[in-house]
Amino acid sequence: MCKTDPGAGFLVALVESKIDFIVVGGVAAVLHGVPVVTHDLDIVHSREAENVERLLSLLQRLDARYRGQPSGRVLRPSFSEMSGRGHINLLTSYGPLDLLCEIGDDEGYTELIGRADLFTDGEIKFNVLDLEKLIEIKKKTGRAKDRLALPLLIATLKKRNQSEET
Amino acid sequence: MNMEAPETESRDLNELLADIDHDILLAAEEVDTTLIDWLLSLSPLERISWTTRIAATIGGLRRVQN
Repeated sequence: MCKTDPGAGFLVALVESKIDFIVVGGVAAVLHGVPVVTHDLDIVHSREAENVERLLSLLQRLDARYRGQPSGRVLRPSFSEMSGRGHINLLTSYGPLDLLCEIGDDEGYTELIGRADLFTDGEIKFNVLDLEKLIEIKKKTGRAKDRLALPLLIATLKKRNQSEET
Repeated sequence: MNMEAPETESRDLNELLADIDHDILLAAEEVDTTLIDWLLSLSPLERISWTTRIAATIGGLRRVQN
């Protein structure tokens, strides 16, 4: 696997920049082995000031800008926005990135880190929201696309549990 | 490539699934696990790489169709 691959490269860049974050959303599901296709990386980042500074610095290097802007207009994320609330939808040189200040029941990094699995791949370590929590969140949204994804998440969880028992 | 070792607390699966619609649970039972098995055989970053490529292929097909 080449670390310049945009999908994996993004995660590697975040880890190497010493950003505190938790992978959530579709990429989190994929990391758990769920066969879904996803086009963007969703992360919940720590809003500690130093972490936001490091993340902002990385995003500047990755030419990050808000998605959906009128042609010719470039709007960049700011420290205050990344320290606040809500979702920040960006486009970067690695592709789309969604910074989620909180998800579900207003849960941010501090609340969610206890529900994160630590994944390792070589020397790269990063936190991924656990599969059970992903299912809990999708149960509550009521959105059609989340209902469609639930069977795959549940099947993967059962498969993984079976593998761990043998 | 090293394989990951996810660290989770054990959760009560029945409690997690208790309030999910029966049709969703039935659909979960019918999922073909071939792709799940394949993804679980890869390292974490390999999983991302492959799904990124698949997403790019789908994007390419859409552009051809359009």
